[in-house]
Amino acid sequence: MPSVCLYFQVHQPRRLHNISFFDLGKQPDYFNDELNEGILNKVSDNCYLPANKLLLNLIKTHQGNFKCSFSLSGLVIEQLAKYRPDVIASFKALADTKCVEFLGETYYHSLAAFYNREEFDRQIKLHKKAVRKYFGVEPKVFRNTELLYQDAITETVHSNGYEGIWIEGSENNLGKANPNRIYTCHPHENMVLIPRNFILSDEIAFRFHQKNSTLKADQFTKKLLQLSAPQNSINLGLDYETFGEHFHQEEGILSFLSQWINNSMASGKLEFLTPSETIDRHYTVKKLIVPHITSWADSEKNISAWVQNDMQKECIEKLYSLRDIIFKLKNRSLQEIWSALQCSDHFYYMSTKRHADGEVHNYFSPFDSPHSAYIAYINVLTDLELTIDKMKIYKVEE
Amino acid sequence: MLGWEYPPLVNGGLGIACYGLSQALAEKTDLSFIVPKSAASPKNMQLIGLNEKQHVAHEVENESVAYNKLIKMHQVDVELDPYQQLPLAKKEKVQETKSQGIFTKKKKSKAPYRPVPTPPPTSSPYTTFDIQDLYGNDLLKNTTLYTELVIAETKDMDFDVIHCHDWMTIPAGIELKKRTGKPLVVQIHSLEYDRSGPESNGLIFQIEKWGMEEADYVVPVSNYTGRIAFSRYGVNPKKLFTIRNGMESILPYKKEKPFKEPLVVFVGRMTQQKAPLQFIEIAQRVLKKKPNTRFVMAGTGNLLPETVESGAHQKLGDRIHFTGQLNRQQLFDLMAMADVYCMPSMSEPFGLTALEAVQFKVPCVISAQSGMYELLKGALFADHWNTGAFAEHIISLLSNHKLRTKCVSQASKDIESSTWENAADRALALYDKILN
Repeated sequence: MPSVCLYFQVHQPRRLHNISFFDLGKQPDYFNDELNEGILNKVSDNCYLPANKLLLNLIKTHQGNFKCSFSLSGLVIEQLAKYRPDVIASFKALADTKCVEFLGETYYHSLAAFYNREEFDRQIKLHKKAVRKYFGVEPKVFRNTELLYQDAITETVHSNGYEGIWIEGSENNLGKANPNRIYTCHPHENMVLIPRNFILSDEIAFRFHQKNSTLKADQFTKKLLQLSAPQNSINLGLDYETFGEHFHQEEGILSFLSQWINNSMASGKLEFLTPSETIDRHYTVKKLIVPHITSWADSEKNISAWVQNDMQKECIEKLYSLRDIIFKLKNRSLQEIWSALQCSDHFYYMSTKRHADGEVHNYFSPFDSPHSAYIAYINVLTDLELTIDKMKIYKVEE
Repeated sequence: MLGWEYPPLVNGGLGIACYGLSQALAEKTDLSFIVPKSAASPKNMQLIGLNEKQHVAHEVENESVAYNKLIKMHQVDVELDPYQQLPLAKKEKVQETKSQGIFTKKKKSKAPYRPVPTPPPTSSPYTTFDIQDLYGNDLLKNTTLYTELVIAETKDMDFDVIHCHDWMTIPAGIELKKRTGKPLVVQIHSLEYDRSGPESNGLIFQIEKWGMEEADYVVPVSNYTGRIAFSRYGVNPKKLFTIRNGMESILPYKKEKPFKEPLVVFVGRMTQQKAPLQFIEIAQRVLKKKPNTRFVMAGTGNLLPETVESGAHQKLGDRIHFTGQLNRQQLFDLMAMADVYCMPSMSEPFGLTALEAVQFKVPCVISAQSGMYELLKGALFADHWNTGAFAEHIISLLSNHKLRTKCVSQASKDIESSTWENAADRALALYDKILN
């Protein structure tokens, strides 16, 4: 029977203060946690809590036959634990149904996979630990930051015991291959690749409500049923914030979600599987060879949303150049600051892309321009370096 | 006097210069000063488009500024609907001018004076002259509107000399001269030539040229600018009368830097005139020889994004710090930390910020295409295109302590006579010359 495999991405960065030259050396708070807490509260109330409740009800209604998966970044887990333990509890309740799988990712929602293999490995482990701690489950399928993928990262993922990786179902991953099937990795052929059907996923994420037309649940179910060849696995991946934050409840996004799931179940032609079940149940078609970096972002679907212009390149290279010294100093709080600065969102805000992609970048950015985002970020790095310098002197004197 | 900006609503040197000169003049003569928008009048503290922060800043600043002197600040009332209430001019004939008209309608028609751009009258009052649109896209429209309002405002006023500052007030000055027959002084703080380079030949250039032709006297802020007025605008040198800017005297102080490396500072709008990209190149050259140097670029403008990206491109983001627009206190704090002040402008009529640097005992490296060239003996100069020479000067000042001290003490002497009182005396001398 054809199946639907669904994952929701849950992530909130720790946004920065507008650190200026005059803040340098004054031990400023880099992170605007007031803003972060405010946003987290808003999103929790608009999206996480109501949507979790809805999914829990669906699981109960369909007596465990509705299944889905979540990927929560370490940064959102730690912020929820701090500000909204009630949301953590509601995710835990979902985990307890055993119908919801939790995916592995990098703790800091970072680009470490392409800048420091050791750091990538460290963050995968950190994240696994957090998922175990808060939700009591063991992640088996990996979903790298923003579906960034390349053959070269599979080794580290594999060595951490993962059985599969989500990738974007785009041409730069699949060529002409069918996105509604599953594949194997290169070179680790015992790891499975699950391609996200971005056309159907974006149907909801970007096109649910456009101008005067709203996507109807019937229409969407119909599209799913059109793809219901027996071997197919229709893999959908969405930002969880789509449900109540990017689109508001008043626009009907939550009832849309429950309706198309109910419709699909009622059709009797589709079943819902977790990613692990999908890997178990379906046969892989072939090995995918992906030498270049791919992702789910922007029209290019590569790393260019985060690393493209000079500002982004300078910042990320500078950041990773500090890793050795940060770990040598063995200062926990510095390590945490440096780690949270790896969050891909910071680089996303610096993008100078225009048109439709630029608008999406702009929507998410707390800064008034990519240049302001860059100035704040590079000032943070400069201040961090000054702190490091002071500590080095201190260490020598010791 | 007709001006465009006035503290605390300033964008650059123009407002500061107008303030200094008018304050000093007001001590010695009766003076009326008309600006489009000012935060000076307590009645008008509700400034459209200004955020709360700036609002507070104004209140504080107002107390420290003696606004209740003899100056009568004419705040154009935003509540009135100027097009409908404006009375018809009395002296219609003087509108017939032989000059190359910008307002061609005026020249050709004998009809009562009408504003050039006439938006359909609406019931809502004009929200004219928000500080943002002092330099917005509608600058020309605002200039016209300003002219209108100046005429209305000065209808019953008694005065002897019209003194206007820069091109935005030139049409008003000319109009006023035509109507009243009073002598016109056009003071030049900055020219389109400075802002846009030698190819400038647009509308603004034409207005400037027109103004200088109509003026009885043209007052450049430096001989350098006088030479441009002569060579580029064809102004009769006999009409030129330089009045150098004074400076607000500052109590200098030193402030500890958050880092140990020497600091080179650039302050100015990020526009072609101030050559911010040149500064990035200079920084790069300095860093090649002295990698332990830091730079600050203070200011904002249309070239800011490009400048920031150029710094990032050279991977100098952690060496060149961008601050955006600074308030006075922040500017002083920056000067108090600086080790070298660098001004690589393509063309700088005066260079007020350099005087501030000198007061803070900061040695300066300045473009030879500037008014400072004739004033400061104690500064190092280079042609604005010669980034190599700028870099060498900076490196010399950073590594040669003797040279530093020598420059600083000489420059301090050079600026001793740069007071607004002296500037005001010069202006009075000019008025005497005109009236007698």
